[in-house]
Amino acid sequence: MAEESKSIQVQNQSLVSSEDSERTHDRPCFIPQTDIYETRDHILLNLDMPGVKAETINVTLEKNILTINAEAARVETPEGYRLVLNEYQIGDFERSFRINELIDREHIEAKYKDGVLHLALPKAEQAKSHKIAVQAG
Amino acid sequence: MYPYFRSPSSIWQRMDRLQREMNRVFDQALETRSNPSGYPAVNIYAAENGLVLHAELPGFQAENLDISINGETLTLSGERFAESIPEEAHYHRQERGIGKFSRTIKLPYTIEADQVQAELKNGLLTLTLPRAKTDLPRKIAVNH
Repeated sequence: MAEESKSIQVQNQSLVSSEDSERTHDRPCFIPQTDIYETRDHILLNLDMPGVKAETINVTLEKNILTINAEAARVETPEGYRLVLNEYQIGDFERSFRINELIDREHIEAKYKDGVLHLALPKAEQAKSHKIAVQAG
Repeated sequence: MYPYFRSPSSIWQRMDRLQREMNRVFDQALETRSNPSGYPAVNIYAAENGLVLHAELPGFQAENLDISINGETLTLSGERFAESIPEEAHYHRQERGIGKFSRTIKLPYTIEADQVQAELKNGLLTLTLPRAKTDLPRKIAVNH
């Protein structure tokens, strides 16, 4: 099952390497873990992006490249405290996907809740599968 | 000549100390970089009178998280559920984990369990863990 979905993702949404461009600030940048699923009318994405500032979340769809990025909210060391165990780093998130479906750009919905970004990309009318009536004769 | 007599041994001592220092630095560096301890990864800040713990838990609701403290042992457990998707939908990609986790962390202090504060915001859990009064260091006056 995992193998099968892998082959689908390579065709449909290949990851654009974020090393294509270099970052100008020294905070680490993470690739958010993402679920993508498709219904008849939508392509839906859920991305784990804990601890980002909601107002810095940027979703762009240019040609067929969907790019999501967000800035981490600064976590200040509380006054008088020092870090004694550091298992994860705080960083920004960025990821791009190639979307092969035609998307109705005007009606993309994005919602950030509990550290997860939910995106709903409605398929454009002409991209929805139509049943073509074949005329005989 | 007398002053030189001691110098070889002190060089070795210094080398030895340097070596130990280097080992400690490398051990620490490795310890902080890898994350062998399990899910979720945590960052802990300490001051003399308490601790602050951060953990990244995206997609968790407060009611599905369980935090328990027993002295200096903290147990974090919880469950993240799969999203209910329409029947005709199919996944292209499923990277986000679902299911249960439980992690026990030994804290450096005994914690005043009934004064712990927990906040879950944007998938980031913040625990404020005050140190138990009985655990606070006490200054001992020396009688002259």
